[in-house]
Amino acid sequence: MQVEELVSDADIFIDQEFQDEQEYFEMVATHLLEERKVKTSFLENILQREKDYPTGLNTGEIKVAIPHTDYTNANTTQLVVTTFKSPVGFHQMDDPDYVIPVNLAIMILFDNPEKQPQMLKYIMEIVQSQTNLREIINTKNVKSMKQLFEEFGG
Amino acid sequence: MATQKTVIVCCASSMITSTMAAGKVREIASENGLPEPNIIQCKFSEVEGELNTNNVDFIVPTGHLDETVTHGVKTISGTPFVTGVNEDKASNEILAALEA
Repeated sequence: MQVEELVSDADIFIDQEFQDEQEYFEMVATHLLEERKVKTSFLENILQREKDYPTGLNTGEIKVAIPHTDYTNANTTQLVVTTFKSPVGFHQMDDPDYVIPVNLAIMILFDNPEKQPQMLKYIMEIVQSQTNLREIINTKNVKSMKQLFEEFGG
Repeated sequence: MATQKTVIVCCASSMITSTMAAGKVREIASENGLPEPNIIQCKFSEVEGELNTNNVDFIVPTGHLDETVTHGVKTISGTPFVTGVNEDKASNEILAALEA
């Protein structure tokens, strides 16, 4: 799978402001629904899933969330990158009682489980590197962001 | 010589984060010349059922797994394989459990 297909200019959101994670999910889900990249069931499913099994990762100084839900709710396989102007509280994956201040969200959409292994390796390399995460939150325009994600792939 | 271990690697969907952790468990075994573990990848909600039908050596959940469903089987957090934080410590625990 090519990185160009994984990150699309239309689904990169930079320095967004949200009161809470609910507002983030509503904005992204509405956008994706307009693009027909997700099904109408998507918002409800991803909100419930995040409530039951949160995806905030305590990756270090820069924290990332990797929201995702069952593949039957999406029509494509790609990432949706959103950086936050001020950190947004997400519950921590391995300790759901804790809310951690998250600097960016990399939402994982997938519609076919077979495409996954390569994509997961790629995501791991990004979220496990504070250097990479810092580069993402310091990137202030869509073109450079897309380019940055292509560089991560190479 | 260590025997082959049966390991449950689980997360909410059995799709994303458990796949990340399962890869690491296999990698630790092969890098240390240990028998390839029999990995059962499943959802949190399926753990209890898998424990009833398999002789499981240990469980690697990538998120919060309720203790009431683990039936006292040893549990090692797989979250470090997702975040990269404390990964060495988690790898050592997995290695020890595979060698046991």
